[in-house]
Amino acid sequence: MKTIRLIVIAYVAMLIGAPLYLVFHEAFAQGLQGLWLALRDPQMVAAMKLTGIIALVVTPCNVLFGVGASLAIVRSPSRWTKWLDIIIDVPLAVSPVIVGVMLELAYSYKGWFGSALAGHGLQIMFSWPGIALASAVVSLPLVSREIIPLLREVGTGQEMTAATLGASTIRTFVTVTLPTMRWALAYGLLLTLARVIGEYGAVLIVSGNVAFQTQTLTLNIGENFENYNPTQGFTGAALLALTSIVALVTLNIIKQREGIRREH
Amino acid sequence: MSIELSNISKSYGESQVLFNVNAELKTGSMTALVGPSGSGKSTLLRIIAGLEHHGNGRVFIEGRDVTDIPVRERNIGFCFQDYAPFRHMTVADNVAYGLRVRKVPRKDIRVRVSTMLERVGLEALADRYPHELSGGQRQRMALARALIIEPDVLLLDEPFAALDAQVRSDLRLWVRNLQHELGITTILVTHDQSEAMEVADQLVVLHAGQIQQIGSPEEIYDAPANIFVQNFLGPITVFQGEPVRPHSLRLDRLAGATNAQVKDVIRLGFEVRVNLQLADGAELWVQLTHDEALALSPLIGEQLKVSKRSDS
Repeated sequence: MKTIRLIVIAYVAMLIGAPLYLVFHEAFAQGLQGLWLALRDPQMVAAMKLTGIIALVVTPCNVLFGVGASLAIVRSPSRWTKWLDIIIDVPLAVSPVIVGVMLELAYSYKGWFGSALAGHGLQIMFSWPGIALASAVVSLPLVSREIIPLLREVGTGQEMTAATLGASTIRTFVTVTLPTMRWALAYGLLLTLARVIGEYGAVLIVSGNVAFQTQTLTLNIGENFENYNPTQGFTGAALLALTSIVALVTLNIIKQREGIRREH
Repeated sequence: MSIELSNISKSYGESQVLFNVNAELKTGSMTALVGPSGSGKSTLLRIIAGLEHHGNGRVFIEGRDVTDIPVRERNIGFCFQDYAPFRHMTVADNVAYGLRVRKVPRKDIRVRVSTMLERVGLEALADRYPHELSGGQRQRMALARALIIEPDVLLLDEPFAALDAQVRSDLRLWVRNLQHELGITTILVTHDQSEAMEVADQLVVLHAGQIQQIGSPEEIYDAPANIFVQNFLGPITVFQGEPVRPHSLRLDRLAGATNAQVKDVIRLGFEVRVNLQLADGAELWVQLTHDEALALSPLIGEQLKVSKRSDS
C-alpha cells in the first residue's frame, strides 16, 4: 500500500505539481517588481480584457442554451431532441482545431453564412464574434451534461405535484425545477467558464491572433513563448492557472455539498 | 355522484390501455382502483387528475365537467408513489406551497400550515428537509401538502408501496381514519387486493383496461363477477368443475361425496394447506385452520373425502 501511495504521489508531482510550481516560480523570477511590470504589459492587459468579454458573452448564452436543451431532451423527448442530444456532444468528440476550421468554412467572407453577413457589414472571422462563436462551440455540452442526468434522476414528480397544487409552468420552473438543479447548474457554469477562458486551438484558427485586437490571454501566452519572452509568458500562464485553481476549488466545494444532498 | 367517469378510453400509440371506462364514486367515499400491473389503474388516476390527456370520454368532479380543465385548476390533491417531496424546501415550506400559489396572506399560511402539521403529527419536524425524514414521515408530509389546499378529491398513487411492512399497516389505518375524519372523496390505486379491501369502502377492479367489477369489499369477495375477480381477490381451486375458495371446502374421513388422495400437507402458521389428487388425476387444494388440521391429522397418501362446507 505504502509503495503504491508513493508512486501515485511521485507521478502527480512530476506531471502536475512541479510544473505548476515552476510556472509560479518563473512568474516571480524578476521579483515582485518584474511581475507587476509584466501584469501591466498593455498587450497582455488587452488580451485579458478580450478574454473577459468573451467569457461574459459566451457563458450566459451557453447556460441558457444548456438549460433549455436539457429540458427539451429530458422533459419533452422527440426524434428532434434525440438528434440534439447527439449533436451537442460533437464538440467533445472532435479536436478544437477542427471546430475552428468548421467555423471558418461557414463564417469566413467566402463561407456559407459569412458572405451573406459580410454583405450587411458584419465580420465574424478574425474579430471578436468569431472568437465568441468558437468558444461557445467548444463549451457547448458542459452545462447540459451536468443537468441532464440530474433531471432524469429527479423525475417529473415534483413538477407535476406543483401543477396539482395550482402552480403555472413558469412558477413551477422558478420555484421547483431551477432550485432542484442549482448545484448542477453552478457546476456546469464553472466548467463552461473555465473552458472558455482556457481555449486555445479553436480560437487560434478563427481569431487571426492580432495583438490588441483579436488576441486572447491564451494566445498572448503562446506568443510570448514563441518570442522568447518567458517572464511575460509565465505571468500570463500563472494568472490563468490561478483562475483555474480558484474555479477548481469552488467546483469541489459545490461537488461536496451536492454529494451530501444526494446521499439521502 | 361526486366523481363520474364517462366512457374513458386511452391509447399510447398502438396499444390501448383503457376501454370505455364508466364509474360513479360517491362524495366522501374511499375508493380503491385495484388490479395487477398493466391494468390501467394508474393511467385512470392520472386522467382524473388531469396529468394525462385522453382521447374521448368525460370526467366530472362534483358535477363540474373538468375534462378540458388543466390540472392546476382542477383543485385536486395528488400524492405520487415516491411522495415527490420538494427536496430543497423544509417540511413547512413543502406544505405551504399550494397556499403560496393561491396568494393566501402570509399570516393565514402560517396558521394553516401549523394546524395541518399538527394534524399529521409533523409539527416537531417543520424545519427539517425531506431527506431528513423517514418514509412514513415523508408520506404524511405529502398528504399534508395535498390536503392543505382543501381539494375536492384526494388521489393517491400506490401510497403504501414504498414503505416497510410494519409502517405500511400503521399508515393504512392512519390514512383511513384521516379520510373518515375529513370526509374527503379519496381514490387510491393499489395492486394489493388485501390493502384495497382493508382501506376502501368501494373497490373498482380493473384488468386489461376494463372494469371487471365495482362494489364493496364484501360484495366483491363473496360474489365475484367473473373468474378474474375471484382469482385476483384470493386463492381459488377447482372442485366439481367450479372455481371455489380453498377455505370453503372441508375434508373428512367418512362423510363426503368425492374421494381424493392426500399428496402433501403444508403448514403456513395458522393455516394449513392440503394438496389433493382426485381419482381422475385432477388436483385441488383445501385450506384448513390449524385446529382443523390437528383434529383430522391428514396423512400423506391416505384417501379422504372432500365436500363443500354447508355453512359457507
